[in-house]
Amino acid sequence: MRSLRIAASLSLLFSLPVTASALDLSGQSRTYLQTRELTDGTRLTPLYEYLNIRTDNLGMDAVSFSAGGWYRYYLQSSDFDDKSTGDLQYAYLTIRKPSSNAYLNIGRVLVNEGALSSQLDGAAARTDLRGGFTIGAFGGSPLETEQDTRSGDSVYGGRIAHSVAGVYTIGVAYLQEKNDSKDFRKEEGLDVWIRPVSKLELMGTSNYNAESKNWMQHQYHAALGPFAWLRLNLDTSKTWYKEYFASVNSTQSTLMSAFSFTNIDPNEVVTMTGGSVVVATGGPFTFVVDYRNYDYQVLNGSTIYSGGSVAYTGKDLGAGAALHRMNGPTVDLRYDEQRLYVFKKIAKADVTLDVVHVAYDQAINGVEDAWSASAAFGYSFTPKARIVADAEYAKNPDYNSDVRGMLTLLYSFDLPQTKTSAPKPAPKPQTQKKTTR
Amino acid sequence: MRTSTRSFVLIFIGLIVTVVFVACATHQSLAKKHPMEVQGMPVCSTCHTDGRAALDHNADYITRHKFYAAQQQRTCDLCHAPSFCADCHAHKEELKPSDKYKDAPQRSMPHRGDYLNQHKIDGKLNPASCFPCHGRQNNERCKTCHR
Repeated sequence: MRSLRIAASLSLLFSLPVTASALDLSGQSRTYLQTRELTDGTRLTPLYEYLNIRTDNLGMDAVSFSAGGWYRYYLQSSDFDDKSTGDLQYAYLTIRKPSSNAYLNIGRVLVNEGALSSQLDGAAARTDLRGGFTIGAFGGSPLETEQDTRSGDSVYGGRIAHSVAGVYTIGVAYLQEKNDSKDFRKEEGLDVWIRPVSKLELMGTSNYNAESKNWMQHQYHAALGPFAWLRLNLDTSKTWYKEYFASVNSTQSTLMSAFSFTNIDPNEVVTMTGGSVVVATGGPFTFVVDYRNYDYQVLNGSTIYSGGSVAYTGKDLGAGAALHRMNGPTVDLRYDEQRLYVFKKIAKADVTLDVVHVAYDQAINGVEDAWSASAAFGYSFTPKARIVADAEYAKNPDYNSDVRGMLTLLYSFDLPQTKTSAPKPAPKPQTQKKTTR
Repeated sequence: MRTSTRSFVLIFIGLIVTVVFVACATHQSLAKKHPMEVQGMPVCSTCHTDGRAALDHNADYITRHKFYAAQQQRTCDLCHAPSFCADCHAHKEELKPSDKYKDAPQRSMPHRGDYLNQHKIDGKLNPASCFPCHGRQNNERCKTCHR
């Protein structure tokens, strides 16, 4: 019944241009017909429709509406899953102010407020204030797929930030979520972006569990460059499992068992340090060398994931190759990984080949090598209409032979195609005017 | 009305009032859409010399896009529809992002290749990386096996 309601809602939204031709409407329809097999040999043929729309000028220029969602239907009977299902991913009315970047979104929204994020049915608003300050707030009922009903569920929060354009933005945020009227998440967040000089950016987030009053996670990134052909990235993060997974373990351990402390050691603290060196010569080649070290406090060991990749991007031809090694404290965390891909455009058609190989140090289910190879053929009828057919073969610890296929139809629409609504093409770089905020 | 719901409503209304009536800046808002058509991977530094130059979508941009999105979602909205984000960051999803874009191998897409087995490895490596998408709100798929 729920999927029928979703389908009816999407159909209604899709019919908007017919009933309201004065609106500017744009969006995209994507239809996927997939065929795949379960481990017991059952072949599934799901048909997916993804539809997203945006309407502008709803009575006035300041009001717009955006919505997107998907619907799935199995073309054959299935005991594995529901015959049909779907999801309304977002659907909200936006009211904007012509000044101060102020907006109010009402409906189903994805909120990103600094270190904290949530998807909810409710409202979110933000505006710039005088003196470089920005304030945002949100509230409503959180989205979830759990079966414990949404009664007594609520989420609200906000963020205040200060910026000096092009130099720094620092924000603090708060979020409180209740499930069945009980505290579920109570978090505080800090977000930082600093650009002290033009070739250095520091950015990151910190999350604090306001319930247990301990840090949950720090994530920070530094980007340096470019220096001639070279860019350098540094990453570090630290996660306290006990605090990070506290919410699901304090109130819903039986429901959220994938992350329950029966599967995850609550005392573990993992610290990641790493980075990458990017060499972009300005030509078609880009080289990347990357390294990550995961250090585990309780396990008392570390895992290193390192390697490199090269990408070629030509006018009608692209290709890439990557080699990586995972070297962990236990043998199931040790493997070599390789990937090779190439794509070629020929007039309105294009062909893509992609191969991924993983060689495990120790066989898993008697299998030492996992292979995945895919081929895709695409044809663009117009810039807005395209068809893609792809096939994938895989051999891995779970499948002796897994063959999948998918047919994709994409159609973008923009109604009415007015001269004023279409953005101007960008001039060539040498003629563009330098702008500042 | 429950105390929690009442406090949420009061706080939210208070902030909305603040948004509408108090202390708004007077500068012009960002455009709804980027004023110039951008084709391919945008190189923002071609035109912008300030902080926006940092938004060049080069090979390593994917590793830090979350930090920009956390602070400047409205800048992302200039070019990207919300569906662009929802392709990977959805609360309920059945198709792997990489399955939707087999014809775009150059894009960094999560869960490429054989992810049924690989997810066990990634889960041991750092389960916190799975949690934002699959932990709080979208756990149905996990529970198929993790009971």
